[in-house]
Amino acid sequence: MSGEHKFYDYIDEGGNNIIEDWLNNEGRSAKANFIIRIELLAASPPRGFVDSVWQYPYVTPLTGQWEGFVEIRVKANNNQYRLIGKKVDRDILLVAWGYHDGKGWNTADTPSTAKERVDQMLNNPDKYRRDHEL
Amino acid sequence: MSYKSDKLWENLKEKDFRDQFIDAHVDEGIAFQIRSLRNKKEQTQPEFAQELGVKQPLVSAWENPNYGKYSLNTLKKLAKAFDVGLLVRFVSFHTLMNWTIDLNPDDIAPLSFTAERNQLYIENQVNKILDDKNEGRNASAADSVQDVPKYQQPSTATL
Repeated sequence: MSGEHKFYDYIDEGGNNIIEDWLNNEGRSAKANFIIRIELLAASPPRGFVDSVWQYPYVTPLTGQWEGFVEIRVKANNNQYRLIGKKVDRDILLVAWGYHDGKGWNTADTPSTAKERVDQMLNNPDKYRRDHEL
Repeated sequence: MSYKSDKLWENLKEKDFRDQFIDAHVDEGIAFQIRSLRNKKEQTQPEFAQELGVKQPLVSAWENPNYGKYSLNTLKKLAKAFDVGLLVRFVSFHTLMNWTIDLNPDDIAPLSFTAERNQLYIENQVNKILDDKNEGRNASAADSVQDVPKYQQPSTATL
């Protein structure tokens, strides 16, 4: 990664990387896409250049209850997989995930949980934050 | 290999993941490169579409990672429009992996030929100035040796 942007995963109280766990289980079929999308986003755009990629369709700013968060949306096996994070300057804190299987939206996380996780990552990065794992 | 390479290599041991990785690499990578290169060209989608003689929604589709239906002719046409090279090759997974991690912005949106030529020209000019400066310094150093009275010059026999 060239250091244009840096992605971090949320680590829970038990020391588990919830993003990595999800990508290795429910989100497994979208993992390759997420790896490549995140690496591309991390290297873009160079400082001082006009941004054309931190926006739809690569990243989507969320509205409503999720206002202030962004999502990375990936389509795989006819499902839509989403990683949700908070962009703080050039750091992206990944705090939640979900997928839509055509019938309904599946996620274990609520906006308030996500906000709480962001606060934890900002206030105690040594405990709650780890470099994004592939 | 770096820690990230090791992690990715572990994933690639699964055939399903390798297959997904090939699709993702093309679908995600090409879409992202087209958007980045068009941005570097400072053209809007309608302007770029007009240059290529296609409709704007097609440019929008090309830039979408879910599109994934690029023909070789389209890719060649795009490379020519951006004035950049195009590599379509079967490669080892290590090669593919190396293109995926630790990317630089120039890997994503490479310089057009004109920009590359200008950059090379500037680099050559800078190197020439530095060489001339060094030669000047060496020449003046040689002059200063010659200025020293002969009895103080080191004997070649001792060199």
